[in-house]
Formats: sequence, C-alpha cells, structure tokens
Amino acid sequence: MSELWQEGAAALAAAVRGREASAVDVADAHLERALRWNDHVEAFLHLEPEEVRRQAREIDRRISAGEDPGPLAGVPVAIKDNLCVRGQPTTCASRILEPFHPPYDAHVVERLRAAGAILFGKTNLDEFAMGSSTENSAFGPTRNPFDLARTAGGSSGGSAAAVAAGLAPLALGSDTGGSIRQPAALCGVVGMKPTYGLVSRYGLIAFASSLDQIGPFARTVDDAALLLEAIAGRDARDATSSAEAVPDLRQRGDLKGLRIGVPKECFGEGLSADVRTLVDGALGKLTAAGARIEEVSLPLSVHGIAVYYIVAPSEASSNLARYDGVRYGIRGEGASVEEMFAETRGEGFGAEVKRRILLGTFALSSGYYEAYYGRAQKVRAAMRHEMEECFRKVDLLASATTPTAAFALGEKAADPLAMYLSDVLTVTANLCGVPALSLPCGRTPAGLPVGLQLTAPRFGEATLFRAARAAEALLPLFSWPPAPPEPGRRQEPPR
Amino acid sequence: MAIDPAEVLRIARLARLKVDPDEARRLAKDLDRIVGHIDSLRAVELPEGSEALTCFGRDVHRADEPGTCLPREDALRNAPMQDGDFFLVPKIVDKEEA
Amino acid sequence: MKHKVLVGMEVHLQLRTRSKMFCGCPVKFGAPVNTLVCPVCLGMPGSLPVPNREAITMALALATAMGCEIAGLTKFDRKNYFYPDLPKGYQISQYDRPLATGGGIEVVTEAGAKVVRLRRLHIEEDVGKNLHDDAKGLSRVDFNRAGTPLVEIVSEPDIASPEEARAYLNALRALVQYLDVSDANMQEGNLRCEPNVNLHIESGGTIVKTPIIEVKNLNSVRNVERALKFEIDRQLAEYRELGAAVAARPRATRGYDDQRDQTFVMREKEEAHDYRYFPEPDIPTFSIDDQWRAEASARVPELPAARRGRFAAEFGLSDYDADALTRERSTADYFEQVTAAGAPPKPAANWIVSDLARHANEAKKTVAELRLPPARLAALVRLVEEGKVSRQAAAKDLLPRLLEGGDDPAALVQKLGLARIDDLGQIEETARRAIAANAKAVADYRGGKQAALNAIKGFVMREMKGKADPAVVEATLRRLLA
Ligand SMILES: [Mg+2]
Ligand SMILES: [Zn+2]
Repeated sequence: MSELWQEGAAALAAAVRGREASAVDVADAHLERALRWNDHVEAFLHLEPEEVRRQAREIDRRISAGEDPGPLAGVPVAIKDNLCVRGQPTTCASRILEPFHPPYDAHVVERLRAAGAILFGKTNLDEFAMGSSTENSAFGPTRNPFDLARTAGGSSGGSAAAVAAGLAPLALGSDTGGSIRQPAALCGVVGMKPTYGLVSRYGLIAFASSLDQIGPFARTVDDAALLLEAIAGRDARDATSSAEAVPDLRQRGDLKGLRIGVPKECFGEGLSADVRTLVDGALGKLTAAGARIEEVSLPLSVHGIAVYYIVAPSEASSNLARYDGVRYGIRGEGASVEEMFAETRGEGFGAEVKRRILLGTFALSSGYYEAYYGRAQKVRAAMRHEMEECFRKVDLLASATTPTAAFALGEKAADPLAMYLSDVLTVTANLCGVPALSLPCGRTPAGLPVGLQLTAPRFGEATLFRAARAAEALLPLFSWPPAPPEPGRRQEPPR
Repeated sequence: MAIDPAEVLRIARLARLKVDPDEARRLAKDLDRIVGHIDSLRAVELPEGSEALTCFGRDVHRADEPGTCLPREDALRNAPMQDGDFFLVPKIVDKEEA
Repeated sequence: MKHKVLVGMEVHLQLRTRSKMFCGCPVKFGAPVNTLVCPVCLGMPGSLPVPNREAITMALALATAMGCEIAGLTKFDRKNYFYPDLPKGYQISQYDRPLATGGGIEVVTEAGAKVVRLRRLHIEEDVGKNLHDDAKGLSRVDFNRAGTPLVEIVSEPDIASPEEARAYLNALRALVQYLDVSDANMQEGNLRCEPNVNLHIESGGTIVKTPIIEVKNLNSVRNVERALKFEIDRQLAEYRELGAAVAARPRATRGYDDQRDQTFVMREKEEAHDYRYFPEPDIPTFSIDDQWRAEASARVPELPAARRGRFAAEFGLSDYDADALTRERSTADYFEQVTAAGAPPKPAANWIVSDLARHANEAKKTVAELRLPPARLAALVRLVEEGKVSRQAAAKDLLPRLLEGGDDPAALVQKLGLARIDDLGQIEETARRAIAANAKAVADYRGGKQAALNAIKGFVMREMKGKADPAVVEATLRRLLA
C-alpha cells in the first residue's frame, strides 16, 4: 500500500471502517505532511494537530464500540476559512474577522461531522472570497504546489493547494464566480460548483448571496461525489436551499450519444494556446469515446463579467455591512459611533474588498440602481433563459475552466480589471445557477495543470458526474506535484 | 459615468469606509475603469418587459415555532467591547440636537 | 386666512408571533437583555433568514380587515443603513412590492365618522434597542427585540386634526386587538407611530403649503395629539413670519420632548435617505395564493364598527354604550356571554360599561380579565331587575364580593342582608330622622336649592345601607318637605 496521504477519500474511509487503518494514523500521516508542506504552499490559515487527533480518536473509539461513524469515517476534510466551525477561528482571511470564533457550525460542517469526517484545519482564501489568486488574503498568498512562484488560484486557493499537495484528500470551497473551479484547474484537481440551492449556505460567510455555493475538491471525480453526497440536500435554515431530491451522483456509464455543446464564445482570443491545445485534445478523446460534440452559441455570456461585477459587489456591499465593530471582529478607534464604524471598516478591510464594497454601493445608490443593479439582474435573467434554451439541444457544455494556466504571483495583482477578466469562463454558471465541474485535462509544457470545465443544467449533477467519471478515465491521471526544494522552515502549526 | 475622487468619497461615506485622499485617487482610477467595462451592459438588447432575476427558489417559509437561543456569554463572546450584559459602543450622539 | 391640516400616519406594529420574523428566538417583552438572540438575529457571519409564515398570515388578516388589496406575488428587500442597533447593516423590509396597498380605517370623532385611506402595508423586522449611558461615555445595545416581526402601515394624509389622529390610532389599536395580531401597547413599544404633518394655508386666493414635518419619539396616543397640536401652531407661526416663503423650507424630521411639550429639530445625515434598497437575495419571492388569502380571511372576526352597529340595533343600546362595549373585543364578547346567560341587554350593558369598567380600570385590567363568570353577573343583573336588591346595594356590596370570588348572588343577598327594603313605613321613619338631623340642608332645599336634597337622601340611603329604592326615598323626602 502507498502512503496514507496518497490515498483517496473512499479508500481511506474503507480502511478506517474496515479497521485496516486507524483514524489517528490517517490524521497523523496528513498532519505530518501538512506541517512540512504548509510553509511552502501556505494552504492553511489554521490547523490544530491536537484538535484533529481528538476527532480521530473519537472516530476510532466509535469504531471499536462497533458503531459506523459514516461514509467519511476518519477522512480529513480541509475547510475553507469562510465556513463557520464552532469555536474555531473563522477569519475569511480578513483582518476584520481575525479574532472571530463562531458560536455555531455551518450546515456543511454539521453534515461532515455526521458523516464521520475529520475537520482538518481552515484553508486560505482571498479576503471574503473576493479574488482569483488568494493574493487578497490578509495573511499572505497560497502558492501553487506545481510551481511555488505561481498562484494556486482563488478564491479557494488554500483548499485546492491542500488537496493537490496531499495535505488532505478532500476540501470544501465556495464558488461565487469560479472560486472552486478556477483553483481546481490551476492546481490539477477536481473541483465542483453544485446547482445553486443544492447545498445549504447556512454558516458560509456570505460574499454574494445569489451566487455563492459550497462545493467539493478532490483528486478524483468519485471522491468529489462522495464529499458532495455528504453535504447536499435541503436545510430548513437556508431559504434558498432547494427541496428537490439530491441527484444520484454514483451513476456510471460511457459517453456514447452524450450531446456536448461547445460554446463558441468560450474559445475566443483570450484563450491561451497551451490551454486550447489541451482542451481540444480532451474534446477529441471525448468524441472518440462516442460523445457528440457540437458548437453552440451563448451570445449573452460575453456580458457575464459585466453582470457579475455588478451583482456580486452590490450584494457584497450589503452582506459586508455587518462588520461594524459592534458584535464581533475588530473595532477601530472613534469618539462617535460614526467614526468608529468608518475606522473599523477602513482598517479591517483590504484593498480589493474596499474596491468591491465601493463598486457595489455605487451600483445600488440612488440614481444608479436602474442603470446598474437593475439592468444587470435583467441581463442575468435573459442569460439564464438563454442557458436553459441551450440545454434543450445538448446535455452538457464543455470548455476550458480558465483562459490560462496558473499565472505568476504578483502578475495581475496591480490590475483589478485583468484579474476580473480571468473569471470569464466560470461566472456564467454562477449567474445561471447551474452546476459545473472542473477536472484536470493535462499539463502545459511548463508542467502546469489545465482544467476542462463541464457544465450541466440545474440539478443535472447525475449526468455531470457520470460524464466527468467517463472523461476522467480518458484523460491523464492526477499526478503529484514535485517535492518542495527543502523541508519547511517552520515545524509548528500555522498561526 | 466617470468616477472621480469626490464621487469615491461620497460612496465611501455611504459605505462607512474610511478612505484617505491618496486612496480615493487610486480607487477612482480603478473604479472608473471597471465601471467603463460594466457600462457595456447598457447596449445589450433585451426583449420587451424583461423581468429581473431575484432568486432561484419560490415560497419558502418556516412555521412559527420558537427555537433555542444562544447563551448570553456566547452572544457576547466575540464583541470587541461588552459588559457581560450589553454590547458597548461609543456614545450615540448623532440622533438629536436642540 | 384659513388653513387645512394634513396628517399622514406611519405606524409600526409588532406582531404577536411566538417566534421572531426570520429566526426561532421567542418574541417576549421584558426578558433579561441579550438572551433572546441567536446567530440569525445577531447578524452573525454566515447566518441566514427564513421568513415566519405566521407573521405574514397575521399581516394578511390585518390587511384583509382594512380592505387592502393584497399582492399576488411579493418579496422582501434590504434597506441598507448603519446604526448600532441594526445587526446586519440592513433591515429586511419590503420596498416596491408591499404585501398590501390601499384600504382604509374608519375613524369616529365628535365631528362624525370618516375613512382614512391607506397607502400601503408591509412586513419588516424590528431593530435592537440602544440605551444611552452618559456616565461612562458609552451606549449599550440590547438585541432582544431585533428581528421581531413588524407591520408598517402608512396612511394617506387624510387625518385633518390632532383629535382625528388620536381616533385613528385608537381605531387601529381596537382593530389589531380584535384580530389578536398585536398587543398594540405604545408604552411597551409594540405600537410606534411617526406622524407627518403640514398645512395648506389659504390666503388671498392662493394656497401655501408648509413643508412636511415628520415627528419622532412619540410614546403615547396623548403625546401624538399634543405633538401635532404644537406642530400646527409652530407651522402657523412660521407662516406668519415668513409668508409664502415658508413653502421653500426643507422637509424635516423633528423629535418630541414631552417634558417641555414641544418638538425640536433632529440632525439628519445628508445621505440618510439613500437606503440602496434591493431585493433580499437570501429569501425567495413568494406568492399569496387563494388558499392563504382564505386562511387570513378566516381570522377576521366581526370588526368593531360592525359590532357596534349590531349591538345598537339588536339590543337597543345607545351609541355610547355600544361603542364602549365594542372598543375591546374581549369586553364585547363578555357582554354577549352575559346576555346569553339570561341578563336583559340594556341593564347588562350598563353594569359592564359603568361598574365593571370602573373596577377593571382600578385593577389596570380589562373587563374580561376581572374573570367574573358571565352567569354570575347575569344573576346579579336579574336580581336587581326583579327588585330583589337595590341597584345601589348590588353595586356597592354585592359586586365586590362576587369579584372576590363569591359564587351565588342570591344566597349572598340573604347572607349579607341586602334584600331590598320595600317597607314604606320604615322608609318614612328614616326620612323623618334625616330631616331632623340635617337642618342646614333642609333650610337650603326649602330656600330653593334643589341639590341640597341629595345630602338628605344620602343620609337615608346610608342609614338603610343602600337597601331602599333611591327613587322611593326621594319621593318620600319631597312629600315630607313639601
Ligand atoms: Mg419601516
Ligand atoms: Zn434569533
């Protein structure tokens, strides 16, 4: 048997349930690797070995007592640090929430506990999930395990890097405009954004309420399905969580006759040659396996970025109004309440968050609402309609996940608009509420991973996972990043 | 719509964000470019009577059943300033003047 | 110079649900501070609102009772502003698609009855409470009230006087109590109102409109009336000073200081009205279907105005009694129970409106809360009507015993020796003693002061422990003094 940290989630759960390995052994193998690697990738903001071992011992105790802790028994799951875990730091990678310890668990965290998973630390992200490179974290960027000088993507960069580097077999992220799929693509792992409403957002610290969804990271499609199964389903505490039955994520089958649409708008000039080559190659393999690839058009999707950068900041400007220094987080000095509010927020939020709060406040403010927010929501409704129409003709859509492979840290940091435009292929799924999955489709000549994005209609996860499994079998397998040049400088846990 | 530093300061006041003049100049430049991009939406042709999208679901309510509250210590624990009973804030003086 | 007063009323009414609008925290008054809170109503990061269906049904019942037009499809919106008592930095409210529009409330004043038209009714959540603590230079915040369901009812500026404003609020209170959707108690803050007022002043054929003033911090119906009186005078004075130029003054918000009985200017931030409303993305739109409308309609009982009319017609009551009986639903119900138990309606009404109401008032209760079983009051009324006990003795001696839990009025009459004295000889003998003992009053009466007779009559009634018929006593005295 290979080392425990190399195993997938399904194999680990089976080993723990079958008493072939103890949950403590599994936890220790991952802790050891995480503590050694984190200095290089900066995937975790918070990881407490003793707390991890305590959970693992409890799983082992239950197993010796003859109980079945659940389908994720003893499997470490890294949690993006915008998901509330009772009593643990939950910072959103923001100074303003640095001291915050939520008094409650997010719905997905409750579900993970119920499935026997080990909550394995909190991962780095762009502050409040606003960004595409994790460089907007107030605590420093996450690095791409395949090239430490490059971005792991964002905003769920920490989760993607942790899974890619073998620090945890599974991780949760959140995806508002591509924040799971983009880092998954750049780190060579599977990342999936579910249908809006499939997973409860209760306990996910909101960025943009109408777009946010929690989803899984894994190294295989099967493992991603296992994690999504554990967290999906109606929750009475989230009014936008859907009452629809959770789709069957375990279907297997080939690609014969599957109609896959390729939106021509996704193959425009912004797409790098490396990415285009790999995606074309992948589509060729799908065709060879019997899929019917056809070109489709989603003319409104070219406005995706514009719509997204009105809707998301508008909602964010309101969602982030609660950070006022009264009930939690840091407080700035101020003789009056007004001064205190402005100081707290001025000090607590980073540059990108401020930019988006201002943009959103502007788009909602008196005299501009109709031209911006109102207009954007109308275009969005039309985009959704256009997407539905398209899915009358095809079963899935396929494209690259990102226009380029991982860019260098610092490359786009000074140019917000360029950074925004890197979400061009992912935002449409969020705006339309449809599920989408990114899976690795090879590496560029420089060794950087590239992702293939598959998109399904709302609640089309059964088809999405079935096709992704079949595609995964045709595409290059996950491969480990090279070992870092030297062991970590710091041997103690982060923070 | 051009965004200048004065407009940035107006929005920042609305958003209760302290922004210094240097920052306002930088932000004005960034925001002006971004708004320049999103202004492209104005030219999009939409069918007559297009409705705005609000939410994906429909008709979700809860029954009027009391649930459990947080113990007060937990409610107050994260507060930057509290006295065991109340959340404390700088004196509120902006309400009235004679 | 003639002027017309235009008052529009904005009322926030707490709904009496068991739990809050968007979370499960109980709705209660007077709990220890910051104990009725949870992640949702504290606006903790990651928490989400789920609307309380019962609150919406209550608001629908109220809207139905006021004849409003109910929206088919509606939604919640966010109203964004910053204040320490507002946990999320926005209030969940309703903006461009309120739950209901139109409708009206009938108000009755001495000038007659009229309908005040309504503009809209919507649902929103309450905020917490700031307590100002000057000593430490800090303010304290309690979030127990945050998230309590409110309906906001906005009237057209149809209210034409401070008296009408009072009548409007009383009518609204009666209505919500009938519907059992709110305690509507201004002292406890579950009914809060902000009138806006201005004048149309006619002078030399033109009309000058004074700027609209919104008045805040009003905590009783009486203060609403007083504040409006003050404002009307103040606006008239301002007009006298400025003339037509008054119209150009800005609209403003003024507070009310009840110690000084005057309104004062409140500072407002320039951007105070840029609330950046947008649809609440955390709560799906919802539709009010026929079934929900029917459910709400079924909660609307016979309303005060209709009941008043019916009582007058069916029981032959005076308008005064009918109105007094129907102002509170429980009192009207009680009256009907008493008549159903066999009491003749007119005297029963009189007992409730005068005697029971006085006892209730003293005990700071409603008539129904006195918990006098209807059958017992009916028995008492019958004893009086049948002449077995005098009205006066029944009121003075019997009723208090019954209120203390005495259970058989007829037996109590015997036990307490309250049976009415019809022996004319005994009455005449007592009357003669009274004349002898009240020389001054007798002289006054004979000198033409009719009222002096009351003193002598009171003496007789006291001597006879109220058991004689006052009319017989009076007739006897007049005869003897003639
Ligand atoms: Mg209101
Ligand atoms: Zn609550």
